[in-house]
Amino acid sequence: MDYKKKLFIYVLIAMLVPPSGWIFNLWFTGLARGETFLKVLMNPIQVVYFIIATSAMLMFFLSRLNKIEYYISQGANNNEEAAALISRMPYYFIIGEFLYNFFGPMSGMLGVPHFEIFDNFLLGEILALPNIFLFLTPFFVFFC
Amino acid sequence: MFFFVKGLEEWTQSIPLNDRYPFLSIGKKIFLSNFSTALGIAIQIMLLNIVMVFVNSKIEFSSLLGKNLVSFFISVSISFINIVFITNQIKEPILKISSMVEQFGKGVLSIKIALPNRDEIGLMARIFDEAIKNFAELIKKTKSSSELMNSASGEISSGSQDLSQRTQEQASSIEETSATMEEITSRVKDSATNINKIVELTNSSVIKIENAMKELETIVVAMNEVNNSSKEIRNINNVINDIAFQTNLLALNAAVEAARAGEQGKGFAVVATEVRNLAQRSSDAASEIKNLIDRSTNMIEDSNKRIEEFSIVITEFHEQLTTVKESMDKMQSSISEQEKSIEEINRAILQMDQVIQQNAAFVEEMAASAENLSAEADALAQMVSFFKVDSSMKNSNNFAMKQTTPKKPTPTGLVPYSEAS
Repeated sequence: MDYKKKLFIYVLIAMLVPPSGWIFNLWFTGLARGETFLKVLMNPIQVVYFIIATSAMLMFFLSRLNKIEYYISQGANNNEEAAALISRMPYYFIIGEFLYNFFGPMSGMLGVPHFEIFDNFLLGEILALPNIFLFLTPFFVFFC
Repeated sequence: MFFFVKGLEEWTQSIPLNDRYPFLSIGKKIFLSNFSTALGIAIQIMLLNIVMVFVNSKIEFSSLLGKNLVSFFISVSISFINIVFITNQIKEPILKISSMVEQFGKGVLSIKIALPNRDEIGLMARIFDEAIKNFAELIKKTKSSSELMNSASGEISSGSQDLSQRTQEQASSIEETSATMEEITSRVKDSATNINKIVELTNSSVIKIENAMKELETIVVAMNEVNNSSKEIRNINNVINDIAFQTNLLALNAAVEAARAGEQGKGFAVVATEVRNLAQRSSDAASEIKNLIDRSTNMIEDSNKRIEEFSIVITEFHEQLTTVKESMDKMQSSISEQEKSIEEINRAILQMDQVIQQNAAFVEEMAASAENLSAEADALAQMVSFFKVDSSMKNSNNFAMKQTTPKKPTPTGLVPYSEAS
């Protein structure tokens, strides 16, 4: 498998981990149990959001990876542009993931009566924070 | 996510790092990674407790503790993975660089670290690769240069030996030429001496001829005077002859008158006869004088003619002698110039001899230097052969074996610096 495909799959995995972690946290902490948990899990808004956000992220990264592939094929002609693009990749990722993790819980909780209570909603929202600190920041650091 | 990073780094390895697009330092990486992980664990556990208490304020302690423990183990596992990755990200490249440095210390220059990291370690690896590449180029060039130096110094050495031989031959030729020139010089000096004598003699001859010509002119003048005197004597002789004739006539008249006088005139007749005899004798003497004068005049005229002819001959001789003198003068100056030229040639030959002697000394020094150079080139080649630039290169000789005794590796596979050095 070539590097581009591998990286593409890694981005896809990076889009799958935060919702999994967040849903696990909802269940594990007991904030959403039983029917509420199933409603969140089956929330169509969340599914649509996941599909759109993941597709957008994948498309965006695919275009960037294609550009990197083009620069590599050009040899030393575009080294500066290539270096600039590579240096921007973690920022694209961290911003995309941050937005994804910010709006993701909202989409999951939208329409669920249990989370119409502000405190529940707020707790549900901040449960995405460990995802950012445990997954996204190390990714950023290691990449740079 | 870590796999994404590693994959991207490996993929973009061929793209060099750029100063305009800096990256985080290793220190910041470690700090941010650890801080972020610790913060993530803290938030995770804090949120767990808050949410659990919020959801159920009467939650049992055992349940709270159990969930905290599970959350703790999950968080610690993630943290452990994070720390292992950050540690490996630092340790592995350093070990690889150490291994390569060890190889470099053994003289292997065909190594390349080629780390994909885009941090200081990656930069260091790339700089090290570049340095090794440049060093390998330098060693390759040094090897080829030392080979060239060796062959060139050999050529110089053999060439200088040939040159030395030729210089010696040249020196002996110059010595022969110098001896020949000395002989020529002495001969030319002899010629000059002879020419000087001849010139002196010629000058003397010219002066004598000129004196003779002057004397000849004096003789001609004297002869002319004699001729004139002869003419005057002839005139006087004519007068004497006339006087004798008149005297003879007077003596005849006196004899006639004496005859007329008779006895009384007898004595007178005797006197008259005597006078007539005297007159006759005077006339005869005058005739003889005239004949003598004529002969003298003829002889003088003849002598004049001969003197004139002799004068012409002398004049021609004088002219020829003058021409000879001029030629001798020219020869003298020519020989003088020849002497100067020969002196200059001698000086030039002397200088050439000195130069050739200096050249011979220089050639000997050059031959010695070439031999030294060859020895230095050999030594350089031997030293450079310690470095193994390319597997196809030969001359990986015993120098490396002599210089680098095998070192005991440490548990990490590295040779201690103190031993390696």
